[in-house]
Amino acid sequence: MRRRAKINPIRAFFIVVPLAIMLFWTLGPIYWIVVTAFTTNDQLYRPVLSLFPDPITLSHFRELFWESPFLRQLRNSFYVSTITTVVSAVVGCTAAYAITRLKFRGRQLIARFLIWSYLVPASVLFIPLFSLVQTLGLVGNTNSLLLAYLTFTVPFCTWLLIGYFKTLPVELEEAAMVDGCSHVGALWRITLPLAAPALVVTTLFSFTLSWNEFLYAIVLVTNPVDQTVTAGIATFVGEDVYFWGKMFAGAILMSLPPVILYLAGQRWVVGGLTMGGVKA
Amino acid sequence: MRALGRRNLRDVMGRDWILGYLLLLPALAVLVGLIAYPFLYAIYLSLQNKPIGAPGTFVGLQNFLTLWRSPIFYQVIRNTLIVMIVGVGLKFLVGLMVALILNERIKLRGLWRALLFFPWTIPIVVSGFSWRWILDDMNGVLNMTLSHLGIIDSYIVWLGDPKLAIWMIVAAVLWEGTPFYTMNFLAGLSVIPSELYEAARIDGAGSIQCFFHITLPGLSNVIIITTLLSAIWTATELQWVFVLTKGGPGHASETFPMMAYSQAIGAKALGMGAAVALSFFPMFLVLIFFLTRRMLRSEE
Repeated sequence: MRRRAKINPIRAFFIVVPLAIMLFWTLGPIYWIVVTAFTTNDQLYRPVLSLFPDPITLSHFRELFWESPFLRQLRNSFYVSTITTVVSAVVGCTAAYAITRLKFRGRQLIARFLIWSYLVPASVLFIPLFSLVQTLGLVGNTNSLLLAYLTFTVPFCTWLLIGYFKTLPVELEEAAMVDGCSHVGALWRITLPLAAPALVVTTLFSFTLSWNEFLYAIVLVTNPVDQTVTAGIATFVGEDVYFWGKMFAGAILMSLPPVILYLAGQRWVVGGLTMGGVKA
Repeated sequence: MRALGRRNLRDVMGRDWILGYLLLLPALAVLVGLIAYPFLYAIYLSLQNKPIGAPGTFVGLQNFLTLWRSPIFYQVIRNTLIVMIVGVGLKFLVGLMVALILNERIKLRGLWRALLFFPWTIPIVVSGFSWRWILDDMNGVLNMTLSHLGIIDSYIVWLGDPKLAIWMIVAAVLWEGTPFYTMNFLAGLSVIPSELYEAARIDGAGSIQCFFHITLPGLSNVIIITTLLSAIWTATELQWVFVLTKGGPGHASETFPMMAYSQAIGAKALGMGAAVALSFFPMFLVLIFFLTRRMLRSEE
């Protein structure tokens, strides 16, 4: 319950004006992405200001689908993000359970190492990882991205789940184990169902982080048909002078999965962030 | 004998050590194989002259010395600090302002919140290109609008002007990064007990006093974690510079991830690229150190 203020014109002014400015600043570029994707090239590249597409065209989408490897790249992105998400959720759950529920030497150290490794930036790791992937003979292979993405999803998922597992009552698991359940059984039957909200947040973030990743995507894979969408969209620049319409058609489509996930998981996301305080 | 040995190991390693390490094995494999080992390998690479696809030769600290003697390196430090400090400062101020507004009882609050979080949900590469297109000097909507309104006579080369380019990157960083701050600050505001405000009101405190004596102290932990995380991410993000300017014109907007990329991948000099990345690492080590301490403490 917040205090109830009467409508105060000064207070209203200090809320409405900044809010309006922020909405304009935030939504302006997004509006422009959408407009550009539906505007004909004739209209895009003439020195006359026009703020609406007239006529509306789907030619950029057509070009994107039939004359570029975009659909292949979309498939690659789904492939990489889904596998990364599933693997890191499983790895994260078992690791977080071990750290929060089992007693053994070294777990504090490993917990510290996890958070530390999450913060080592990709811009430091990408050079040795490129070299490593080259040694493994995986350069240019979409699967090499799986290895690279685990470097940020695994520490992230584990850290977030450690925080959540700590808030769950241990008594239920202990009761289950008194009744003859093993540790693994307790994790599977008791802890995981209780941790469902945290699992939703971790999978949502892992998927989005992998989907949006750019640096590894351009460094490790260079052949367009094997690239993911983030890398693919950047290659439009050199091909043609008039690439903007096609690029933003692709931009809209590739933004849909993270936007849909965000809208679907919105109510968990805000709480989830305070658990780990995280975004890439 | 053997049973005794096993028991001793259990005493040393703790009750559940076998299952514990078994469950941790996959995570440890990632930590050691994909993070720790590559990190150490980066140090080894930085001491070599190592072109892509050819064997390296050991050159000691030569890469670092060449780099530290180059004036470009200092320009890159300056640019990285501008993006990090100004970017984080602006994101903090704007993010806090938006969070305070969205924390008020206003109509359609959920809608405004969802709309204002939008930049955070779309891939950075997409927002980067949208800014590049808006700022395009020939066909960009910003130049056309400004000249249409009579504010400018001739088009401004936003991204090609050595003085302006870095500030355009800061603007794009601000646009994309503000929601993360707003989101965390809103979550932080929601746990400050409203009784504190009521009590302060009764004692005659005004809005400004409430802000400085209740709101800010109540948010301090969220502020520190958010700002430190964001400082690391902002300074190490390649995409803005890569998409908007590629570091140009010249090196006017080059930040350290861009320099590491163009040395390692562009110039195919992995050793020099690693030296660039590692030269900046101490700065992040300090940030990571403070952040890790904070995050572990707030976990307790």
